Amino acid sequence: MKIWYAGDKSKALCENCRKVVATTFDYHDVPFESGIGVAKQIMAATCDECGTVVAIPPQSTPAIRVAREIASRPLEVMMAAPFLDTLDLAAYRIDPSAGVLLRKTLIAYFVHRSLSDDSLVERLRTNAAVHRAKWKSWHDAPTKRLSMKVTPRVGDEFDELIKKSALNKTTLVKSIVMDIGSEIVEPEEPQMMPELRRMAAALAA
Amino acid sequence: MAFKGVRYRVIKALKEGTYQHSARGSIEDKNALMTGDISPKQLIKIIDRCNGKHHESSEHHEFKGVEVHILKRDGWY
Repeated sequence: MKIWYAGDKSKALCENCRKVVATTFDYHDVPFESGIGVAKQIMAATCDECGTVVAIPPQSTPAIRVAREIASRPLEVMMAAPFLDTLDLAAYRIDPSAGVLLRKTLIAYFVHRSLSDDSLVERLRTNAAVHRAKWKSWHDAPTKRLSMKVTPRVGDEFDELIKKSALNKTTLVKSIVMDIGSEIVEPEEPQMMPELRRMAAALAA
Repeated sequence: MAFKGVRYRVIKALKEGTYQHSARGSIEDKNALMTGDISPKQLIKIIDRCNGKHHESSEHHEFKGVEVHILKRDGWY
C-alpha cells in the first residue's frame, strides 16, 4: 500500500481550473459533500494553482470512515410521493436555492420542536390517523424514498419522539410532513417563515 | 485502451494502493471505496467478474484528452 507524505507531489484533474494540474499532499480538514461533518486533518492533495482539495488517497479512508460514523446515522423512509412533494415544496418556499439540504433540517426542526411540547406530540398522533385515510385517496401515487444521514443528536431526538408518540418511524415522518404542510405549505403567509428563513440563511453560510 | 489492459491496470492500482479518489473540495459520500463501504479486495472481486460487455470508455466530458473508463457489474458502477 502506497503511503503519501506531506509535501509529496502528484497530478490530478482540477474541476475548478478545468485541467490536469500539479498537486501537493498535506493534511487538511475536508467536509463531506452531504453537508454533515468534516474529516479533520486527513491526507489530501490540493491543486497547486487554486488550492482546492482535488484528490484523496486510500490511506485517508479509515479516518473518513471514523469521521462519517461519528457524523451520521442513516434515516430512510418510504412514503407516497405527495408526502415528499409537500416536504420539498416547503423547503422550496423557505429558500428556493437550498433545495434538498433543507429536507433534513426541516424534519430535524419539527422533531426538536415537537419534543418540547406534548400538544404537538398529540397532533402528530392525530395526523397519523388522518393520513391513513388521506393516503388511500391518492390512487396509485408512486412510492418514493426519503434517504438522509443525520447527526447523532438529531438521531437521538428522533428516537425519543418515536417513543413519546408511540408511532413507528415511517408514520412519524409522514405525520411530521403533514405538520410541515399545514404550517408552511398551506398558509398564504406562514407564521414560522421569518424564523425558518433565518435558519436557512445560517445553513447556507 | 482495450478492456483487458484497463482491468489489469485498475486491479494493480487497487492492490498497490496507487490510486487516488477525485474530490471537488469535499468528500463524496457516494464513493463507496473512498468512504470504506467497500474494500479494495471486494472491488477487485467484482472487477474480476467483468468482461468487455461491462466496460465502456469515452473522453472525459470536461477534460479533453482524458479517457474515462466505466465498469458496470452487479449494480456497482
